[in-house]
Amino acid sequence: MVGYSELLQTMAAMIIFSMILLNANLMIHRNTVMQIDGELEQEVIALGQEIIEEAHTKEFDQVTVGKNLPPANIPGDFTGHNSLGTDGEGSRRYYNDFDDYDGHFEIARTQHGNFEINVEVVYLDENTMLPVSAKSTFKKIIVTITSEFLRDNAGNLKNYRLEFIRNYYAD
Amino acid sequence: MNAGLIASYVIAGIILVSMLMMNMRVSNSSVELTLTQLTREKTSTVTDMIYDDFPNMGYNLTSTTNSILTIADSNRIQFYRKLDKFSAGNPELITWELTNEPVTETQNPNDVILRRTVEVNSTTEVTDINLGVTRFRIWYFDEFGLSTLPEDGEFLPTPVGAAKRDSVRQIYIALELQSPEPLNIGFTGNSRYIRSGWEKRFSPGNLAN
Repeated sequence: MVGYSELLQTMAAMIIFSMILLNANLMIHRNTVMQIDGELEQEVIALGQEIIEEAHTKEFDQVTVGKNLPPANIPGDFTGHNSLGTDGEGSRRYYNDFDDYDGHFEIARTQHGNFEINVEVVYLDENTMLPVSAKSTFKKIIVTITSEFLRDNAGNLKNYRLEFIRNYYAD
Repeated sequence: MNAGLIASYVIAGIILVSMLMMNMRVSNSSVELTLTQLTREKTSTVTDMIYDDFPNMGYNLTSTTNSILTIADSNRIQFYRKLDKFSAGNPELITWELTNEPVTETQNPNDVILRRTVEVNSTTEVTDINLGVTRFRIWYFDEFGLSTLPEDGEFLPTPVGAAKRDSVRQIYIALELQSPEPLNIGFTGNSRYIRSGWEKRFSPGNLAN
């Protein structure tokens, strides 16, 4: 090995440098992922708010659509908790009340790629604000958005949930 | 000079060049991250203003304004909105417009001034937003939930005429900002500007009534 000690030293330096390089590459990769995540998450928020705002412009319940007077029995006349969802409206453009969005699914195509949007509407207990299998004057809309480019460390799709609670009397 | 020493010089040279390259890449990545954060912060500033104005168009304390949308073009929108939420008075006439005036303070040749004008009682207040806006495009929809893709063509043709303006229900805005300084790529002298995009469809409550 006489005469090759310099070579061994440079080989050792190469190994150390390779480890530094791997870490640097990992850091650059993380930076890029952070940038992309941040950009896409902005879009996720905007899409979620878009659905919530739109639903908020609609009547609270099918029973109040086109009526000047409130229903006689509140919340007894509201749509049953098992019947939330469309009342025959074919697509989003025809939805006319808040809970029509229950079960709504669409793929939003944007400049940032495609996002899958799932919507759920539930009644809430007036005291606990928890989902309840009965009619009440509170409804909550839950918008869940996913993108194939937004994944957690395990590679699973991240679910982004945006929620909004609406009260019949606060409209 | 023995072969081992020569080989070690060669390898040391390769390592040195690699270290320089790595240093440049790390430095470039940091600059890119910083520029991205800055551009995104600026986007957030502009969208905060938009979020305050657009959902509240037509608001007039106890009712809606007599007229809401007065101009509805692809790069210009004008509407009434009462800014003061607690006292009576005339509603303000607010205009958002993407001008052709370049921002002179930056190296970026693409950014122009986004102008917000507030008029009320013969006074005009102009706010020039020179944060690197390169795109501010508006589409108008007369129904809810239509496709926002231009190729689907479900939006109203712009400028939306007076007869159609009252039927507008949703407003879709696409905004893009670019960094003021370019990001250099490698040794080639090529550079690019960092972009940050945002788009949203608004459903102002007063348009739905």
